[in-house]
Amino acid sequence: MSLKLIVKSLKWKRVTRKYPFEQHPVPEDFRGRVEFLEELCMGCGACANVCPPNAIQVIEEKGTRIIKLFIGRCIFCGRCEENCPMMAVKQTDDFELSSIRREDLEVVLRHGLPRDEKGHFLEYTEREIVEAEEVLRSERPRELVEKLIESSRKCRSCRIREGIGSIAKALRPGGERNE
Amino acid sequence: MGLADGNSCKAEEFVARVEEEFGESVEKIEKLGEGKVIVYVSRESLPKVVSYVFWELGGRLATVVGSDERRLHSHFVVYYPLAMDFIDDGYSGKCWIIVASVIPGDDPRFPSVTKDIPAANWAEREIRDLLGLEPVGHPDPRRLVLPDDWPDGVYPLREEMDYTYSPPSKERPYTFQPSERIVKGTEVIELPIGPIHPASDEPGQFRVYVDGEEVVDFDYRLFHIHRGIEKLGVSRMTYNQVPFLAERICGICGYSHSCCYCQAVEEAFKVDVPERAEYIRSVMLEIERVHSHMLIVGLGLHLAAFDWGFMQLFKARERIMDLAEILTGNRKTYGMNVVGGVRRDFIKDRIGKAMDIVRDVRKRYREIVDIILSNRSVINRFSSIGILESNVARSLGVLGPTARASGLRIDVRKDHPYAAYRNLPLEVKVRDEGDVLSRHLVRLEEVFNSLDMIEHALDRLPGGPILAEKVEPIPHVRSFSSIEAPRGENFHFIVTGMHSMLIRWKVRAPTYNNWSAMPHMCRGYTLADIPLILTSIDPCYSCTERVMVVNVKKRTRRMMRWDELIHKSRKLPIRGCRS
Repeated sequence: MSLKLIVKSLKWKRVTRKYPFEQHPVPEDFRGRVEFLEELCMGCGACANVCPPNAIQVIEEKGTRIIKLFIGRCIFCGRCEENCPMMAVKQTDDFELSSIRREDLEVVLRHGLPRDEKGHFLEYTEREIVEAEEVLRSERPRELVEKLIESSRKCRSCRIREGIGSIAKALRPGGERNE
Repeated sequence: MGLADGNSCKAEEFVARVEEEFGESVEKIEKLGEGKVIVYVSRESLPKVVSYVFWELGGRLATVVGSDERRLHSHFVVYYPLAMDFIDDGYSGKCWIIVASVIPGDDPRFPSVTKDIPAANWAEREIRDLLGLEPVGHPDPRRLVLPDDWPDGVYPLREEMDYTYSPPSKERPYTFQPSERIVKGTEVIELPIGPIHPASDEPGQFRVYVDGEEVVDFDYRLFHIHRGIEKLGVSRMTYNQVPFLAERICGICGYSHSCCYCQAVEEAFKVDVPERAEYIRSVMLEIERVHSHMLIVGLGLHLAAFDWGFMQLFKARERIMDLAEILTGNRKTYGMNVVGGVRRDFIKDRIGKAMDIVRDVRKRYREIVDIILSNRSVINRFSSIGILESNVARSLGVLGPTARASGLRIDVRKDHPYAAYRNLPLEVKVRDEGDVLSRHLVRLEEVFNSLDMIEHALDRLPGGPILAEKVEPIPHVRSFSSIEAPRGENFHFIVTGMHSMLIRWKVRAPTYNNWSAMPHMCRGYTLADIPLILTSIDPCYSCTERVMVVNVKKRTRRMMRWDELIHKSRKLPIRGCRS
């Protein structure tokens, strides 16, 4: 028995790597650190809606919508990447995330909210409205679509005053609770 | 999931027999799915009906589920799910009978069945702790789940408690109770182990009562890291976020938890899972089983001072972890399951890579196993210690390899097939000895079978989508599912609610049932055997352990470090104390 064991031990080579002095390879499509592509994000918050540990949060401030990711809470499931309608979320190969400062683990996107003609803030970002318009243009009947698009440039209180319900909200993707 | 019609017929036959026996007590019958029936009986007749189904009809009590359904019908409900596994006619018609009873909100009591069926012991205590339903006549009045300083009258799983609420602590002691086996006046030494336990995946505190070297009794206090996952899952998360929480219940068999949860919800929502997704789930479940079994057998060998086997098994296991990483993008938390199917497809060149790894691991693993099994010191150390007789295993509801090593032919994959197991070359490995060796041998053999099944499934992976097109939540439906995880059966019970949320989510992991067999396995063996016996039921492991020896009579204490105890377990192959 023991002879066999020694022979095998000599034959089977050492497999330990010299990490961190040597890079650790990760396979293709590894689920690592989440990255936001700011130029694509429209600030809809679909990622925050599906995020199981609430690592992504949408914070509404006056005139700004903030999308905030705290990687310390992230579980790297990739639901945000899967549900982003704009493909603005990407998971990278990066897994070396340790840091002594909390801010290093925070990703913050700020979306300034546009104003309507009376100077009130709208509750949707510019890109959200553009996206919604694009979707609506292919819809029928035309008059209704035009009316909806027109109303999307008015703030909530103005719209309610005119008696037209929210449109962009209904089109907001990924919101299970909004169903 | 085209289950044979035979299952529901068989279930009806059992229900008819229950009705015949307890005609007046049966209040309502509710069909859940194929081969799953809930029989509502009156509160008083609960113990009679449950023990009839358990002992006379050949049921296996999976767990006891308490549920606060006052939002639906202003009552609590206790469910006793019994899998009809111990019937003799082969594998056909194994179904589920759930004996349930409605408990009024203003009189939260129900008669305990623990006296007749020891398997209900922990689950009934848990219901008392978390829901405040009193099991009248339960032999053990102590707390199980809640911390000792938790105030009375605060029940976490009741609807009115907010999940963020943390009540002020109230001091109260916990007493360890040896069973009446200990003869007063004998020189019995009480040996505390813990509170951070070596061989469980949660910290636990143990008392080992020893007479010289011989263990006379064993008592425990677990649940130090009860995390309130069930409450979190129903309070804050939507049904499609819960799989990711379920995956984090266990650090080893997380995938089977998320899979089990998804199956329960899919059944409640009547979702048809695509065949390809079922195959992918089976592959991932088997990958998990392989790495889990390699880990625990490796640890067993480590405790028996055969570190070569430990190292080599971990080396082989690392290849399996790589395989999981290639297929899912992560070593451990696969994040594959959502309700309705899986999220990531197996693409072709990855299947090729996976096949190479499986073949490679099988070859290497066979060589390792040959050497392990030809090592007589290991075999002698493992054999005839920690014997669990099959009748004890049956009455305690022991699961998985622990049960199969004691001669119980139960395996959810075969008895209640799910995912793609109907089409895979599954063999149920059973041994009769019931000792530590046979538990490890069952695992060693299962790994070969699992590797075969992975290869078979990857080879014959059907085409098509991996996610059901439409998942339509249906509110207020009861459903449950069970899965053969590496350590035994996982059991998830759900009641769906409004707005994509759940009202109740009950999780029972296999170690929950297997722990209760520990006193039986330890009695009569030596202190040095305890680490080996503990490991053989496959709890997890943490190394920051110390043991304190207390001589009750002389009031002397001696600290014994965990490594000292392990050293003892390696040095002292004394056996035969059990007379």
